[in-house]
Amino acid sequence: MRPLKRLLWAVIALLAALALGRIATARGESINAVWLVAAAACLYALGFHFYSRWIAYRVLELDSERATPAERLEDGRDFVPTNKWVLFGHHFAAIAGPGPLVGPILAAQFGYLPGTLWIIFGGILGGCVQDFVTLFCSIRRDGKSLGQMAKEEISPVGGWTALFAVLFIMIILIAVIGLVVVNALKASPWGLSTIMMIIPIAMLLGIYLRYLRPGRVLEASVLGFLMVVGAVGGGRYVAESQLAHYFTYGGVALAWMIILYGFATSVLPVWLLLAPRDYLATFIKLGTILALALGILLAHPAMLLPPLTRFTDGTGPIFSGKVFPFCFITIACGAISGFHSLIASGTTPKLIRKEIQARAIGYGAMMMESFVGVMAMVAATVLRPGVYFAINSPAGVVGATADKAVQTISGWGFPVTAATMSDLASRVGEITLFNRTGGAPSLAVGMAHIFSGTLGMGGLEAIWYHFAIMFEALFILTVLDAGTRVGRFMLQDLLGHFWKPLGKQGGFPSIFLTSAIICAAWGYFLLQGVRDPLGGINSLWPLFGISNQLLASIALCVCTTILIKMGKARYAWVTLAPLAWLISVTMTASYQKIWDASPRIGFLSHARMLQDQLAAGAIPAASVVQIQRLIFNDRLDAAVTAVFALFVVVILVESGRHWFLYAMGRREPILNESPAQLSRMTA
Amino acid sequence: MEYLKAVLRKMTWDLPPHPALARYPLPLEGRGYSHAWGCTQSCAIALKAFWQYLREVSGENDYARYHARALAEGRPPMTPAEFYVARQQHKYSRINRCC
Repeated sequence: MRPLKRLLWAVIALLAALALGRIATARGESINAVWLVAAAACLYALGFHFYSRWIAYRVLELDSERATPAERLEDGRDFVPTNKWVLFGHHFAAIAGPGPLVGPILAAQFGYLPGTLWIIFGGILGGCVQDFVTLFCSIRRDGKSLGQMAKEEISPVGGWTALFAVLFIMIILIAVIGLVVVNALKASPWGLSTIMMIIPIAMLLGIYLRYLRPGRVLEASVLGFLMVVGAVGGGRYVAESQLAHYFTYGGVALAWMIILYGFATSVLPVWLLLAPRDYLATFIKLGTILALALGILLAHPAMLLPPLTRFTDGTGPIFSGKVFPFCFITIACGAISGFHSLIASGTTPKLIRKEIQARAIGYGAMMMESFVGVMAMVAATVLRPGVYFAINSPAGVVGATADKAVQTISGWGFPVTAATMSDLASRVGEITLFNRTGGAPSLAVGMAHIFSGTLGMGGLEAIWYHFAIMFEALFILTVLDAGTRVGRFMLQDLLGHFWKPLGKQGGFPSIFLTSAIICAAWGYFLLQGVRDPLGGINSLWPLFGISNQLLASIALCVCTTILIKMGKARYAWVTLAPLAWLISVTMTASYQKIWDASPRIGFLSHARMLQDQLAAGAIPAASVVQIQRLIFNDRLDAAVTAVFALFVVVILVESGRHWFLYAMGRREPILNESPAQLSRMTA
Repeated sequence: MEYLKAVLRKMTWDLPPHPALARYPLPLEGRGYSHAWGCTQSCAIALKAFWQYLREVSGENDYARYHARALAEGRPPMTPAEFYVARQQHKYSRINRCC
């Protein structure tokens, strides 16, 4: 390395140390968010330049001369050699969902420090490595999926575990993100009317792209964006008019609407609603993320949330449980997300032009997502702590009335008044901001604060707030409708093994039946969350975190097995270290969610508490059915958690058995790589 | 500026060259053109490259590629509308969005 380059990297390292030191030593004073952004940017730069390069050349030995599946199997459909930056854009748009925005906001209840450190270091040492190595493994195997690789490299048991884990995670994921939308749109005529307008706008775009100007995605997206901005502005008039009544709903009604939407997108032709809405969402989400980054740099707001709060002891109002393991379960996407391994072993390996590009695409795109998580954390920290907790705490914890809620929250040492909340709600065009558990409204308030502060348009805070809500809802609907549809295909594949007509992808009875089953599955959990007096996030988000980390454990087991088979056992710690951390986090969280004695943490102890109340006759007759349902839901959640934990154990035992046999020399490690072929393609 | 040009060229080397770029081969500076004209040209190149990038990312160029390939293989090509629908059905039958 040239001396000047060395000096540059030394300066970056020093800057990272300085920024981290400033963050870590802040006690009882607010510091500027730029410190957080600077620390993250410098550490990501160091991680990418040194760690990913070392993995690429020393561990994986990426070979530019070796033809990729895109070159060898080019068919113009699945396998297409694609420009590196275009593929980077595709990959980033695919992995960046609502998770890195919502998770950090929820984990901010512990203060900004634990979540931020986990996002940065978890990303550099865990998430980016998982995506990069999985992508590499899939490239060397003709773009095979994670399930196929688990089956071939570990055992058929590993493959089946991966398949069921994916189906389960989809169901829980869709339910929990659906809950985030419901909580954001509850009693919000402005928000709901805007989101409802997206459906006809998307259908118009669908007709435009199908019949009027086939495939002209860019011009359709510009038209769609203008219409969506019009819908956000028009929402204000709906909210202030007689029409507001028709757009004001409670949680259960909204949940049913979302279930119906999921069903409709699964059965309708894909070009009519799903695809155009996805195009719209992709451009808006990428643009807004960029705007948020610029906004933070220009506004350089002070972080008002403390680095650590009293809730690290497990008594948090948003979700219960100590900082370990729950901070690491709450923030999955942004730090390490198992779901990414499905993308890294899905479309991307079939499009990559050169093996060496896996570093920038696999490691680099995840690093960008991690940075999005840091920005979401900054958006949460610009709120006053009292306001943050008033928005995010469920009524079951802080009280149903404004006075009771502010009294409880102020009693925790985070002063807030009912007048402050009422003023904030009117400034952002909402009736109330209390009890909006889920992260979306507080992120929207934070973003509105940053945008209106940056652009000097304080009077437009309501527009920015609803733009942010629309942006988050679009993000979420993307996962919800695409996930429901893919879930339907997976179920059709599965059921087709038992009765052939059910596997027919073009058959209407099969499409309707499987769509209904998938929607019923996630819809059940969504309704359970909506009806939960503790807000739903307390029970569903940890389930989602556990299932996501389970998938990451499967991916890291596959990666470790392949590294060992490649004769790189001495470097296996690269994937084993994050795997060990994930196993400890997942198993501890699963154990606590099932067995913990505190009813706010353990599902079974909560069920037991309700059962005791029923037995003692402390429940009014009118509520008995509801309490019985809550008891059933607690037991169901405990069973689902146990299944996830069992999956982790199965995949770990299967992998560990193979690693042991290879180490003892009792089994020949057979690598199932595609044959090497010289590349004729230039980078 | 030269560095930027080099990066842009690298980013877009495999994209179809825009006719406007073909008319003004690089570099112009030092060949009797002013620095201001060089900057203007660089901005134009950046915009074109960005536009090409958007077209690639959004899939707008896919049909042209498919059409050329189908003709080369002697297959009757689909119409743009048929291709668009087939492409969307294929895209949304697998996991393509994450949490």
